[in-house]
Amino acid sequence: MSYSAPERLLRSLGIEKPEEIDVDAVAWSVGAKVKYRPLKSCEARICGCNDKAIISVDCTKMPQRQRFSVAHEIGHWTYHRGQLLVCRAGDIGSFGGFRKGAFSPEFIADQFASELLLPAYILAPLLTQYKTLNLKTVGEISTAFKASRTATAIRLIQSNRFHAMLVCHGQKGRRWFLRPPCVPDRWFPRDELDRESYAFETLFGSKVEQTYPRKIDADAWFDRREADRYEMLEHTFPLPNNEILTLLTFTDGEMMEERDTSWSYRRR
Amino acid sequence: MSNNGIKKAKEQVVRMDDFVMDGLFSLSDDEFLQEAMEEGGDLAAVGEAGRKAFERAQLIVGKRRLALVRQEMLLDAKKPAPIPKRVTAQSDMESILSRNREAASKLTMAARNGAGDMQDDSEGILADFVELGAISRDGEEDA
Repeated sequence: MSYSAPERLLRSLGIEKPEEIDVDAVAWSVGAKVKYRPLKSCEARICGCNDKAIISVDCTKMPQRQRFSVAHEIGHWTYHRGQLLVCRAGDIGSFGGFRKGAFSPEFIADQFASELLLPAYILAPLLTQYKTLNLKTVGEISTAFKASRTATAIRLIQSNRFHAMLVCHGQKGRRWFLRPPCVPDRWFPRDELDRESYAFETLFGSKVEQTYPRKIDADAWFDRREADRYEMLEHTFPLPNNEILTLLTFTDGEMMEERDTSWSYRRR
Repeated sequence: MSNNGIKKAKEQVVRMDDFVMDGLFSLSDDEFLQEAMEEGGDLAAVGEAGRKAFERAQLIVGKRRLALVRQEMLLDAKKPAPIPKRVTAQSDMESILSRNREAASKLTMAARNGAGDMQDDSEGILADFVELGAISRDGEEDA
């Protein structure tokens, strides 16, 4: 088994269980001290000089966000030492890598944080007990790892174990989506929310989380002719900044069949 | 066994260890593999067991390291917090950072979810750089 950089860091401290992931101690082990204090201009920052650093985290934020911020700054300390960077609010959370490049410092720090808080070598054995992915699963795992539901959902999709995808929408349309390799790439979500979707009601109406996943025609989410033949599950929860995150679960095996939809194939 | 006897026995164990280790290290990888195959063992299983033993050892050492880290953190928490001091205008944060941007940098700075003016947190930032030794307490740059 090979380990990513954040996983090697955790293992170098003998961390084997979710509850042992102490981000302050991890930071200290690489020369960074964490301070929790009110911040006005950002959610977290790192100031470093040579091989020592101070990570400051806004103590007024939710504990899970504070943990993510510490892990994110450790990511900067690992990969961007000696650089001066400022990440704007709009750069946050687009894990699909569509809005910001996969090589952008913020994406790299986010990915580092995600792997530090939810390391595959601890997560994967726990996931074997789950057959399908739903928000209950996400909630249980996020509690165990003290991570936010968004970060957890992203990590679970990235695990490539579930036929599911995440789609984030804001008032002006789709912001990003995350689809695992096990889901065929012909399933590309619409830019705009369908008025029939429950997500639409959550975003523009109720603003509250759906209590259970709802069955919906797949063509509400995908602009493909075959989509009207299938149903799937949709489960949405609101995010800060008037956004929503929807977990789409593919329940029809046919949707997961790979098809050659290239132009040359269609001509035959 | 007398103290002398214990000492002698320990020396014998150390010599035996050295002998075994010297023997192992004197073999090339191919010779080592050949010997293991001749013994008819399941090499994949042996390799897997070795890998697991190594990972286990790594975690045990890691746990000790984590305990040391926690001790250091406790000691640090007992230190009095440095009192932030207003630095002179000449060496305010922006100029320090811009000079650092131009030069080969010893400083690192990153802010997450920046929404406001960094100057609003400048006192804390400067205090951090003072604590890190990048700026002296009277505002002169050291880095």
